[in-house]
Amino acid sequence: MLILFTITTEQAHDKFEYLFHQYKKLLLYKAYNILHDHAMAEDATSEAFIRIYKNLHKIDQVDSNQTISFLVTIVTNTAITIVNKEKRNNTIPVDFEQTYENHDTGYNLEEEIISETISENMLDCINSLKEELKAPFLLKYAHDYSHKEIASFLNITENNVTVRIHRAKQRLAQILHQEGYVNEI
Amino acid sequence: MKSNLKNETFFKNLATAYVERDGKHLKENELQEAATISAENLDKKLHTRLNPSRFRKWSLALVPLAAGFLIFFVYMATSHNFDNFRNEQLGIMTATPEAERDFIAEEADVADDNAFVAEDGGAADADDISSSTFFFRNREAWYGHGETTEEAEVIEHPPLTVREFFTGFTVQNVSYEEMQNTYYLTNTNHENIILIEEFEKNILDINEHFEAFDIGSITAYLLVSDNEYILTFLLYDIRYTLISTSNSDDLFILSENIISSR
Repeated sequence: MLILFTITTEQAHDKFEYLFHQYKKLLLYKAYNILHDHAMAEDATSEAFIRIYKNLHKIDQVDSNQTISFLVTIVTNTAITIVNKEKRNNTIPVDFEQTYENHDTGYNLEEEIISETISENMLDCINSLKEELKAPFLLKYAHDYSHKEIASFLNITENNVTVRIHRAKQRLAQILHQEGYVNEI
Repeated sequence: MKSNLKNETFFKNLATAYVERDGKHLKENELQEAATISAENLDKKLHTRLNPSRFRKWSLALVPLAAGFLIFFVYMATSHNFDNFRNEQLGIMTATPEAERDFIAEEADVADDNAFVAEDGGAADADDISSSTFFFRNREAWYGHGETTEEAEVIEHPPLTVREFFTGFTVQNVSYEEMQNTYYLTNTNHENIILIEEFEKNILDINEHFEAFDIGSITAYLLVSDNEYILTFLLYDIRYTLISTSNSDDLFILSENIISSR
C-alpha cells in the first residue's frame, strides 16, 4: 500500500487533489443521505476516495458529467455497504443472493432485442434498479471497467460482479418490457 | 448471438446516457446543496489514510524486525524448556556448577535410597517413592519393577541415571545427542574417563588388537594402546564404550557397575 502511494505520479496526485477538493462535499452529502450519520458518512467518503485513488488512471476528464456520476456511484455503494454491515451486526442479515434470487424473470437476453433508440423514460428505468445491481451495471456499461476492476471498487468477488450485472440486465429488460420499450423477435 | 450483441450495445448506450444525465443533474443541483456540509474531519481522515505518520511508517518497517526477534525469543525459551523436558524424560542429571551438582547428588542419593527400599519390599510408601524424583521412576522403568506407568513405558533405553554406577567417580559433564550420551567423569585421582552410551545394536569394529573379557555374562573388549584404554561392550541394544588415559581398572569398575545393574 505504501509503495502504491509513493510511486504515483505528480499528475495523478494533482488529479486526485482536484477531484477531492471539488467533489468531497458532494460525496459526503450523498453518503450522509444514506447513512444519516456524519462520522459514518465521512468514513464512507474517505473509503470511496481511496478506491478512486487506486483506479485514477481511468478518469480522463475530471469535470465531466460521467466522472461526477462515477464518483457518486462509488460513494453510494460504499455507504450502502456500511448500511448492510450495520444491519448484519444489529438486526437482520441481508443476503444479497437471497434478496435478488426471486427477481429472476426468466428473460433470455440472448433472444431479445430491446430497442434501437434511447429515450428519457428509459433512463428512469435504471433508477428502478437497486443500488447493488445499478453500480456494477453502470461501471461496466457506462464507465467501461472490467469485472476485476468493478470487484475491486465494490469490494466483492468477480463472480459476484458477473451475477449482479446479469441480474441487472434481466431486471432492466423486465422493466423495459413492462413499459413497452422492448421489441421482441 | 446477433440479438445479444445488439442488447449489449443497447445497454452500453443506455448506461452512458444515464450517467451523462445523472452527472449533469448532480452538477447543477446537488453540488450546490452539498456546499454547506462540513468536510473538515474528512480532510484529516483521508490525509491520515493516504499519508501514514512517520511513526506509523517506522512501525510498519519495524514489524518484520520485531517479529524476527519474537520468534527468536520464543525459540530460545521453548528450546530450553524442551531440553529440560527431554532431560527429565530421560532422567539424566544435567551438567551443573559444582556446588549445585553436589546438591543434586545429595538429592539423588535420597532418591536412590528410596528406590532400594521400595525394591526390597515396599517399606516406603509407594506414592512417596513414585513422586519423589525422576530417578526413581526411571529405575522402575529400567528394572521393570513396580507398577508400570505411562512415563516409564515411554523410556525405551534409559541412560545411566542412577548414581551408583558412578560411585567413586565424579560426573564433570554430560552431553546428549540424539542417539548418544557422553559422560565425562573423573576418578578420585582426578583422572579423566569418558563413557559413551550409544543406542546401537552392533558392537564396535573389533580388530585383532582388542582382547575379549567376560564381565558377568557379557563379553567386553579391551584395547590398550600407548596412552589410551578403550573398553567396549554391548548390553541390551546399548553399546557402551569407556575410554581412559590413565588405567583400565576404572573402566572395569564402571563396566561391572553397569552390567551388574542390568
